[in-house]
Amino acid sequence: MFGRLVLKSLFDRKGSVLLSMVAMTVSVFVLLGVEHIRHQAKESFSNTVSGVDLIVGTRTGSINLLLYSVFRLGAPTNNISWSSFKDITSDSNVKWAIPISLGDSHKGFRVMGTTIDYFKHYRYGKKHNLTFKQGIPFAEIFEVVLGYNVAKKLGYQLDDKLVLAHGVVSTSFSLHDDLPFRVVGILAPTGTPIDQTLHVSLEGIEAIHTNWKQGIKIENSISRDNLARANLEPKSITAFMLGLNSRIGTFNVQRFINSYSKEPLLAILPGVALSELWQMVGILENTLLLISVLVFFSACLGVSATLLSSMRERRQEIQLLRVIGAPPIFIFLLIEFEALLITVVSIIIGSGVLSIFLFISKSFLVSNFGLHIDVNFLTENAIIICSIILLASICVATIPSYSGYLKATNN
Amino acid sequence: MAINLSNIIFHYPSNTKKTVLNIPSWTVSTGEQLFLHGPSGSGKSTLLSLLSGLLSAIEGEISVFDQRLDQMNSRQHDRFRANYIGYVFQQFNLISYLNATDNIRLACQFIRNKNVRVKDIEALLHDLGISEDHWQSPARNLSIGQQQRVAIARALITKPQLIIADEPTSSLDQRNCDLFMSLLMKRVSENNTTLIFVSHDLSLAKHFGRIESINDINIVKETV
Repeated sequence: MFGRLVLKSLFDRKGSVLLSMVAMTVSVFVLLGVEHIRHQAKESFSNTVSGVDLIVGTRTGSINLLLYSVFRLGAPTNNISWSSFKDITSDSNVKWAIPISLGDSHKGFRVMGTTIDYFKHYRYGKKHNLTFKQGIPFAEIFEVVLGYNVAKKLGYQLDDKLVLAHGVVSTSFSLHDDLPFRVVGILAPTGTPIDQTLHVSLEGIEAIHTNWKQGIKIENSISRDNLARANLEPKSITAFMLGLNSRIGTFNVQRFINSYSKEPLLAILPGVALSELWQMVGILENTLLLISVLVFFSACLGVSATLLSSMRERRQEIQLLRVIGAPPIFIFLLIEFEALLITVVSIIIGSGVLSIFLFISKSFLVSNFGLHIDVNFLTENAIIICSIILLASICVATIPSYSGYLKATNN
Repeated sequence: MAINLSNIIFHYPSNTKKTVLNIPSWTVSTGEQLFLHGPSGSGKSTLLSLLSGLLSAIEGEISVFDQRLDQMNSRQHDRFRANYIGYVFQQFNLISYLNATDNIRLACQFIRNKNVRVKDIEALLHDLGISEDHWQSPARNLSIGQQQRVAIARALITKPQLIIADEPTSSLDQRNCDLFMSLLMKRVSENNTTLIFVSHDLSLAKHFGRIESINDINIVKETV
């Protein structure tokens, strides 16, 4: 009978109740949505690189090194010499090494020179290997492997020819147009900056720069035949990634590199640098959360205001309940449960809408932002948030409930 | 003895200087049907609130069915009211968004013996002349006459020993008023229920065995 009274009473004031329920639903949607995307973005972000023990570059800040080597953001301060690379990777603890050479671009997408070890050893997410959507890794000098988004946005197919530009600006006028590259492979989407990268061999990078001095093209260019015979071993690279035989030795190798006497070098643990970087992004993330909490709080107040303003028109009803023997606490609980029911229904609808929204936008987010979002947001965290939502609405609803209680005690 | 009042003094907490009730002694015997009349503002409704425990006297003793209301706390007042008293007002007797059946069932929520069968409710509604197609419609959609008859059912369902009716017929036309009175009086005498009936309309006094003016009970003189 109590539940029936709550239901029918709410239904009787369906206009105002519906509006406050919509406000509540929106706030639940925003709160759960922000929390979920926040979580997923963090995960996606931390999953950009995995299985790499050390990243080595020239001496700079650890976040800067991480940004240009993994996220293709910003610019390296200097290159490191090929001889240092060979020297360090000859260490017995080094299992594999991936050299990286940056500095060129193609229509705004960065070009990365590397070796085929990259496709063998690089891991992202939960130790996922790079996989090919089409084609194979590069084998020849003038072959290129495209990231998923590069191919998709620029509409490249296998065997298409493309020209790299010197520098990383999207409207570069210094093109390596004398030496075009052929697309041999397209990678599957990863949700990481790899999707935005063109991969060529180190020799390819070296080749297109052999007739360049100080960033300027010298005219009488070398023909392809001459290049094939020329020594294309690189003189310098931008950075390299290391996989070690034993993790215990990581710090020894790191110390060895950081105190390397022939050249100033910096070795970073990607996990540590990632979490440092995330701490900076965290401010934005917390601001988002704060805003959604405020939205929720105002929705809570909205529900309470609706119930409070209904108290005046319900004076007769309260009086009548008292006369038939209802104690004042009954009135208090009646209004509390009305607020609780509004919140519960809002949580259910809000979660439902969020599920549908995530389901629909999933493929859009992957293809446009490379963001992998799990549709299932009902994590332990979400359950905690729902509990807090319920608790908060009960607390705020004590205002109208207490007003009803007072009306019940003063006849 | 159904009601026994002695040396009752009452004033509202908001106005402590103005004594509203001063009743040296007043009794009503069990099964008595009392017609109470008097001018507005002479304390009739306040007296009814004291009898039902909605208000507490400042001084004096109130016994209703040998239970000392002046010694009960508010929780006990609520229980007593639910179990012993049926109340009918001039209007707002029903929760407007609940239907007749639910309104009656709601009254059963607060009594000791909650096992009231739906069959009893339906029989009662039937007896009071509410046709079946009105049982499920919200109280606000019923006519005033129907609402007052459902209110009798609501008051009777808990089998109270005392029925308090505060101007129950004032909103009714003559035909509905007669119907209401005959149904109420029939029920009350069948169950030997004590009835206190407050009204301005002295023409209704003919139904009652005892007729009293509030001014004969309450010795506070009207100052207005």
